[in-house]
Amino acid sequence: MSFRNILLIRMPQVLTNLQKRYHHFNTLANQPHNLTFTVVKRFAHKTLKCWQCGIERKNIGELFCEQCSYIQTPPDKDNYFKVFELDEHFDIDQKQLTRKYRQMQSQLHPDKFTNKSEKEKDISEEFSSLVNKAYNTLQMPLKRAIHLLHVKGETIEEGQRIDDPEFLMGIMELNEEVENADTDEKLKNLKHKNDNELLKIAKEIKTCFDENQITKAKETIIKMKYYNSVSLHINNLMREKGIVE
Amino acid sequence: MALNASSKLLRVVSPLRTVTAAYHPNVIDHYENPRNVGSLDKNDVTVGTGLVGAPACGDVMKLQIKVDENGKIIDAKFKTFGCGSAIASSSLATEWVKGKTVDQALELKNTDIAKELSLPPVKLHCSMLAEDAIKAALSDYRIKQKKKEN
Repeated sequence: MSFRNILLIRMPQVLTNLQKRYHHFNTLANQPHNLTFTVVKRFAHKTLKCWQCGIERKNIGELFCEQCSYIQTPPDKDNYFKVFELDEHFDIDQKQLTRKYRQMQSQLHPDKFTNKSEKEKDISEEFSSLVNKAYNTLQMPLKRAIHLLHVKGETIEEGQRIDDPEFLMGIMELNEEVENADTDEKLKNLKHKNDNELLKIAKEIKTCFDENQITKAKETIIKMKYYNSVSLHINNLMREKGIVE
Repeated sequence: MALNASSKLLRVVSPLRTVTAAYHPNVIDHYENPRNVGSLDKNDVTVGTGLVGAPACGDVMKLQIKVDENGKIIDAKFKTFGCGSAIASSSLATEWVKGKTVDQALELKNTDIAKELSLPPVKLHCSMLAEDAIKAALSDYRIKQKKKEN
């Protein structure tokens, strides 16, 4: 951590000044922990300059340069939470996410850049597709959990095996039950049961991340992955049989 | 006019579709006509059961073998819930182990399965899953046999 970051944490008056300067921090003013967190994170970043006019960007969260109003490249491509300026939590405000997504796309969409330079078109295309990808990821609980795990420095490897025969047996039996469901009613019940299980697991994942238990979060996400596969299995069958809820 | 336009579109789309069908005919064959689907009695001492799962894709695979008194695998069954490659891999694995001895079956490698099915690199883990399933089934069989001896 650089000297400047330490300074930011230690000196509340600096924070207050920052809040005054950068209006979007004010929305977080009633959440002191998050504020410190966000400020440190933002400034841990290297400073960025506008590619067009060269001015040092004061607020890299803005999509356009404060000076010349040219579109800017995305500051963080690997962290989808940062793309939407959301805190890195499993529990996100879906409405806020959708609002932010729409607001960003209304400014970034390539359709808005048809009369602009090639460079601006390219940036708009890249940024806009990143926003789509980030939105699709954060919207789905499983994808969001895997992404958050990735942000925390953990991944689920392809060669990994699950060493819980009882759990696997349960999943196997659940899939068999789905396969053998001979009435619409049975299939709907299984879907309902499975959806509840997924909700329960999502809560567990939230707790793991909140308590920063990353290994346990990973194990729980793997569980979710299996129940998600069961869910896909059920949905496929329902589609094949033309069952609507 | 509109009809003409749409038929033109279709002409453009259909050759693309054949390009996106990336599965090798061998995979499709095993996927559409899987061999040896089913279950054996897992409590039978001559039956070994292997149950494996791949966390990265959420696939689950059960592979069972039935061994006679000479150590020869006389039957094999599988049940896989997962992608086409995982189903094809386990289907092929059951075909290959049938008629082999327990020791011969241990030598089966995932690379042989991947080669036969021409699996692309992203699907190699499906063949590894099948290899693991065979190994797990063989080990389960051996544990049961040892228990019987004691």
